[in-house]
This record gives sequence, C-alpha cells and structure tokens, in this order.
Amino acid sequence: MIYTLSKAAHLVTLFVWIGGMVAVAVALRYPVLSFLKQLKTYDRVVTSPAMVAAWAFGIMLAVQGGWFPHSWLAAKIFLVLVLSGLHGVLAGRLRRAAAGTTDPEESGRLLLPIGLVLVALIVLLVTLKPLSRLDARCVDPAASNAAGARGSGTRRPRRGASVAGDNYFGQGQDAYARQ
Amino acid sequence: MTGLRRAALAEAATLLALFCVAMPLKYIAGASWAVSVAGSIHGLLFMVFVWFVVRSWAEGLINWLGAFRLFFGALVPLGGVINERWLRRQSAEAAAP
Ligand code: HEM
Repeated sequence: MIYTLSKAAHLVTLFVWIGGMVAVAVALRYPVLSFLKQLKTYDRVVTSPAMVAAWAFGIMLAVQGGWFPHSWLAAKIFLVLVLSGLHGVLAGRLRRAAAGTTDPEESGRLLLPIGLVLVALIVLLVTLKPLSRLDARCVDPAASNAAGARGSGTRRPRRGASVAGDNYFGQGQDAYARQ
Repeated sequence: MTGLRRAALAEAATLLALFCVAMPLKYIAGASWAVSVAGSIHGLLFMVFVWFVVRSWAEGLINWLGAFRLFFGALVPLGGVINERWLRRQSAEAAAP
C-alpha cells in the first residue's frame, strides 16, 4: 500500500515537474516578458519543489523495493540527473530572460526535444527494466539468501520471462509482501 | 544568488550535522538510524544545492570556475561555509556599482 501510494506520488510530482519544464522551454522560444516573469515565480514555487519531491519519492520506491542493485535503476538515475541539469539550465535562462537583459537565444531550441527524449528513455528504462544481464550478482542464491532483511526484491527477474509484465508483478509482489 | 547561498548553507549545515551529531551517535551510541535520517536529508539537500549551482551557472551568476569551486567545496566539511561567505562577498560586490 505504501509502495503503491509512493508510486502515485512519484508520478504526480513527475507530471508537475515535466509539465513545468515544457512550459519554460516553450516560453523561452516565444518570449513575452510579462509571462516570463510569472513563469519564473511558478518555476520557483511549483516546478522546482515538484522535482525535488519526485526525486524523494523515487528514492523511497527504490529503498522499499530493494531496487538499488539493479542496473536499470543506475542508468535511470544517471538520466534523471541529466534531466535535472537540463531543468537547471532552463530555469537559469528563464531567470536571465525575465530580467530582460538578453536577447532570445537560438541555442535554446534543442532543449525541449532533448528533454522529451530523456523522459522517453527514462520511462523505457523503468517499464522494460532492461540490463538484467548485468545484474548477475542479484541472482547468486547465497547472496539472495543473505539478503534476508533486504528482501527478495534484489533477486534478478527470471530470464526469458515475458518481458515487463512478468517482472513487474514478480517484483511488485515482493514489495507488497515486505510491508 | 540568495537561493544559491541558502542552499550552500543548508548543505554545509547538514553535512556538519552528519559528521558531528549523527556519526558519533552511530559509532558511540550505536544508533544507526541517526545516520540514515541525517544522511538522507543531507543527500537530498546536496542534490538541491548542485541543482542551484547548475541554475546559477546557466543564469550567468557564476562562471565555470565558480561552479567547480562550489561543487568541490561542498564535498568537504566546512567547505560549504567558506563558499557561502565567498558568495556573500560576490553578491555584495555585484550590488555595489
Ligand atoms: C532520483 C530519481 C528517481 C528514482 C530514484 C526513481 C526510482 C523509481 C523506482 C524505484 C520506481 C518503481 C519501479 C517499480 O515499482 O516497478 C519508479 C517508478 C517510475 N518512475 Fe521513477 N525514479 C526517479 C525519477 C524518475 C523520473 C525523472 C521519471 C520520468 C521522467 C520517472 C518515471 C517513472 C515511472 C513512469 C515509474 C512507474 C513505472 C511503473 O509503474 O512500472 N522516475 N521510479
């Protein structure tokens, strides 16, 4: 239950964060000074806290589900850091533009597509949970017995199990069972 | 600049709390929960701080060198405190024409 609620909170905060980023990217592309000023406030009080909350709920999910040893999560966290950096760049440019000191920049055009590709890659990582081949240490029976308190969430998903669905339920139940 | 300074201070304060309060509690009093709690708060604030560094760099408040200085300073206890004072001087200089 707590796991499911954490996931719901992870998703809601993510939508707010990504939505806010898209707004900044579009607003920088078609700058209107009064709107940029409003958006600067919105980014400070809504989008940025939503980003931090999305990180926090993601980490809660990873702790509860014992996902940290899995390579898909490592790859996901790397991409999340890049996406967060992109948000930092967008917010910085927004603040500069809202101060009215710079001309609209051509170089910002790629930020939106780059962001959307990052989001797509992150979502693919978390739904397909690939790279399990790299997680050999998660199947070692001795290791998974010893894992004990950590729970069986660290077990490698069965190879050849029908991709996402099966892994998902297997792992998800582990997470529920542990509560 | 204010946000960046506050984030630097918060990062520095939680790192010190981790070293000076939570770690003694763990290794002397055996309270390992203290490090888990202080560690996660510090970890999150560290990420917030790094995010502020990126934003300030993109905003043109600090250059590459300043960003490096802030990042590596944050890894050392008290480094954040020194950097916060540096930032305060910088913004005072920027304000005085
Ligand atoms: C520090 C940042 C993050 C961490 C540690 C993290 C970790 C996690 C974990 C452990 C799960 C649960 C997986 C499961 O139960 O199957 C999850 C779910 C999810 N995450 Fe994240 N996440 C982070 C950020 C993000 C970002 C930035 C995005 C999208 C752009 C994202 C998209 C999703 C989605 C769509 C799900 C639901 C997947 C499902 O229900 O199968 N996460 N996250």
